[in-house]
Amino acid sequence: MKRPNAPWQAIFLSIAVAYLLSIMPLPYWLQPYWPYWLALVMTYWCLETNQLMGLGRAFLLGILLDLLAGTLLGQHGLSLLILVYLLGLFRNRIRFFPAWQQTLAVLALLFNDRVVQLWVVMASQGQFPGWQFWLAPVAGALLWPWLFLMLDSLRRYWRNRHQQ
Amino acid sequence: MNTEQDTLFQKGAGRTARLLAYGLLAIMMMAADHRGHYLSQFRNWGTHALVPIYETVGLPFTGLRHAGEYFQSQTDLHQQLQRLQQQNLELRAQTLLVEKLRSDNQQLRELLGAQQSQNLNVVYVELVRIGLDPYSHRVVINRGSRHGVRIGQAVMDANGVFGQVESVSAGGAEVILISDPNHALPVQINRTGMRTLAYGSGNPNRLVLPDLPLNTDIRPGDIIATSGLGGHFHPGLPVAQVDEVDHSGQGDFISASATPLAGLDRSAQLVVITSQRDMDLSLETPTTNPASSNGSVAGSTGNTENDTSQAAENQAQTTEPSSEANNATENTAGGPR
Repeated sequence: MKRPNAPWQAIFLSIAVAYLLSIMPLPYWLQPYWPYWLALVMTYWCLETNQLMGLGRAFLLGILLDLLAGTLLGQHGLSLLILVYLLGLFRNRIRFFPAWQQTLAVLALLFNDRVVQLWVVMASQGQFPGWQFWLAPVAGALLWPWLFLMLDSLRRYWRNRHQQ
Repeated sequence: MNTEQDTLFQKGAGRTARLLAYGLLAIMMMAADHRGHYLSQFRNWGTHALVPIYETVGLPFTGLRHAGEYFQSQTDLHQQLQRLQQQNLELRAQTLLVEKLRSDNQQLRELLGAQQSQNLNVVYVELVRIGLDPYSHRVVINRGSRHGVRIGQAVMDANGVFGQVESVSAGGAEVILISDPNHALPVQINRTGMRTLAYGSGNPNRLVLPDLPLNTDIRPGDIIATSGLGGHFHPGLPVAQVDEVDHSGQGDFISASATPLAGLDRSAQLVVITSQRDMDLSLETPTTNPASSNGSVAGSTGNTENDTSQAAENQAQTTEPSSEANNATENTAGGPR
């Protein structure tokens, strides 16, 4: 079975929204809970299509986020690179998990990503950023089912429009 | 089915190789960005290109704020107008007093043969991006080199020092907050004149003064202000209020924590102080050793020695974004912390 290509409009739109969400001005107390939107959206598209599976694309999207977010250039590049690589290894299993198991898998991926980013933060700042650092993956995993349903309906909407 | 599976398995090895290649590239980029600021040009360019995006993202929020203002009732606006008029009157009266003080000060300086201090020129700026990565305390403002903003200039809000311009492009600039753990600010305690460094703590409501000698006279409630050492900041800009002094630390040092006067996590309207510090150094030739010239005038105000270092720096045409912060960071690395 060849995976059908998803409409590019849906991919572009969702990724653009993920960028906007990542650079939205937030109150200080909310920041630790703010999920890693781009990783969530990338995870969805990697599970559903082949179009974003390229490591180069993941790297470039991450670099763009670094520029936007003012983080160390390459931090999110590396994190998305590893995320997409891992998704390439495990997606055939994750794709057919029941919803709660899929959520747990996403949680594990996000935690792993946090560890990668922790290396970078520790290496560059020289201090542990605090326990709040681990809140974002939890928030991301809690959001995952709803995001999955939303992106699914977005994809369907565009596909149906194409066929008409 | 076969085609896809085949490609997937054939690509397995190549994929790992590419992971390693890109990973190495990412690590090299991070090292270059962190250590040498080699990528600052690229980053400047990127930040500049992205300023419109930040403004777009901010639009709904400014829109909401404007809508809120629009729907304020007339009585509220009237009251606000009255209050502002009153405030304006008070401030004008104070300015008159300041003018008087300034002329007095100038006369005294002339008597002492010291440098003329200049007026502060400021550029009014707004934040276009805040709170991105809680672990790097940086914001982007909507004015850049076109408007006179330069690297190293001080950024203030209405209450105190906010941060320092770290990189600048034509239409925007990046500001490092004083709360960034990598930022150190040369300050002095207003009450006693004692000079020290205030470090960012990573929390926008807290600065730390870690290495004060045991006999330092410092109390909760003391106001600390910039000392002007390092040459980037005008002396006397208010920075923070001391709220806790910790005598229990080990060794020969006490530490204090202070709350920044500027609303680092709240203020959206800021000013960048763009006037150059006294550039023409008519008293001494800048080529003489600054240390020796400091000695002769150190008793006066501490102002002249800053001018010397500033002039020396200008001569050397430093392009380092915030040399004082960097130096101080290196100090911490080997220091008692």
